[in-house]
Amino acid sequence: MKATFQGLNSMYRRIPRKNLQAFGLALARAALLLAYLFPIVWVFLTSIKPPILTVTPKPVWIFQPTLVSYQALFRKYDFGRFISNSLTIAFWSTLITTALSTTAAYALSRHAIRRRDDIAFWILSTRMLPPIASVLPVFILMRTWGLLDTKLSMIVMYSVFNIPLSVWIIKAFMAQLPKELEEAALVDGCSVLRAFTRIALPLSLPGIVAAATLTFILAWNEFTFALVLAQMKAKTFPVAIAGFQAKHGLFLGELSAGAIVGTLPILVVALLLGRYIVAGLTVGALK
Amino acid sequence: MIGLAPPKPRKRQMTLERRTPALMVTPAVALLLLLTLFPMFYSLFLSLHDWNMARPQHGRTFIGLGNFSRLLNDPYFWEALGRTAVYVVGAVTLQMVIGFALALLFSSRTRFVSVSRALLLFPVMLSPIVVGVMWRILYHPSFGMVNFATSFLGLGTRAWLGDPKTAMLAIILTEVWQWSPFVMLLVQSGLAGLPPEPFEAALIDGASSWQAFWRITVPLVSPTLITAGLLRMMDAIRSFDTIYVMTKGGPSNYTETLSFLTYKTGFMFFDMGMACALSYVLLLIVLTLSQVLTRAKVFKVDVS
Repeated sequence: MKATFQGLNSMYRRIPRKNLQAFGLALARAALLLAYLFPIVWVFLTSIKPPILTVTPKPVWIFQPTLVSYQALFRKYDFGRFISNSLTIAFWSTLITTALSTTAAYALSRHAIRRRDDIAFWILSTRMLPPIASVLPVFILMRTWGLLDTKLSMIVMYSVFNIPLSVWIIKAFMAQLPKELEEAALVDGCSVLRAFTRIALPLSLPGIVAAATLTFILAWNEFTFALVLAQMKAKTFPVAIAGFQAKHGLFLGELSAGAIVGTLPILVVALLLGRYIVAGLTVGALK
Repeated sequence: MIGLAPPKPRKRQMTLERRTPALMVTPAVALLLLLTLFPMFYSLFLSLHDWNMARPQHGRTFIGLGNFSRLLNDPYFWEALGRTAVYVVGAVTLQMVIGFALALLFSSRTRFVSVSRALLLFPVMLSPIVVGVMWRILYHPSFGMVNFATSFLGLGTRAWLGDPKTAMLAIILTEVWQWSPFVMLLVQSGLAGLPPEPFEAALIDGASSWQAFWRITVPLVSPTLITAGLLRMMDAIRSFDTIYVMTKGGPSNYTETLSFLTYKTGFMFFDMGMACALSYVLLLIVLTLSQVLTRAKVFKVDVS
């Protein structure tokens, strides 16, 4: 009787303490999360403030939200064009990168090619190149070929420097798939191309989507090549917002609106394909 | 008729079939050769020349290793190298510590925690330019949130990015904010791959959870930690956009790292030969680190 009592007693004591600990931990997590995301929240608030309230000596928290900063960004500063340039370049380069790296990854992970491992390692190693190092000769070459400030040159360059990561991610996914299905098909007289399109391609689709998603994000975000190769006609969004910052740094409303617009494509992609991004990031780094 | 089918196309088909895998690799390799390897050789060739694009009448003259010896005697180069070291070591150390802490704090499998983790990873996906613009707004000397906060706490205000004492710190913190969650992600995938037995054994043997953490968790995830650290270091060395948008190397040249100096030499002074030489120094540093990384991967963790 006494033992039960003690057991109950200690149970009573334990449960609240555990709850308290869990509650404290949850509170710490929530506070940390809020603090971490605060910069984005603050910039968003600044972007929907009436511009006059963005330059006050004390922070203003209560205001009538407005979209005038966004309107100015698109009407006065022509950001629609830069966003359309960025999206066009990101879209086409993602398509090219993914097509080329899927075929390459398939051949490298499934078939005996001479010096296969050397080729795979070499492809990956080109990822180490600092962009600022490769942009110098590329700039001179593009100038000689008369391709400066064209979307074509940007699409080609973005396709090239995203191939290594893309090949690596898709290859890692393909390595996890069983080989038996394809081997059986090949023995039955199926051609390599058919085995690829009918068996390997559908099975490794998650890996391909992960690689394509990351490629798109990297292309949308890229700055160094865009800054050097496309100054006017083919100017992309990151270059435009950096330039706006340098010229009109005091227009905090418009600047914030620009920053928020820059996060939107990423937000959409993250909401639709977040799982794939995380998988791609992990595989790209650790495999 | 079928029996008399001409042998020649059949044979061609066979060789084509045999070559399919090689043909599938060719486009990717060809593009990389044309637009990565060839430009890098061209850049090596240019690094051995004195060539300023702003003075076209002077043309290109071969000077051997002249650019490199000029670099090694240039105090600006050594200063930039020192600042790069400060930037890389500072940013990566903080990222590793904060990333590890986030990984431990946001590790349970509840719905709230997994949603938080996804939200934390959002800055990783953003463009460094957008992140830089956001932090410039926060660091604004008169209307920025950082100064509102410090003056509220009675610490006074500062021109964070305009003050030689704080400019580098301000950039480092921006970089840390963006990339710590990436370290968190890698550490968590490292932790997920660990076998539970050593922990159980240690706890049964009476180890405290603190001891278990330092003696078991840390050593077991250390391969992942090393990989994450080296990856972040290589990225930080190459980092150019954050500095470009936040300070353009200023005030004066207090935040001018090696990659920014390369940009400035090439595209502001148009001294292409020297810029190519600088980019080779940068490349050499990154390659050395990547060698260390491939060695470290000998102990790699299986994350699947």
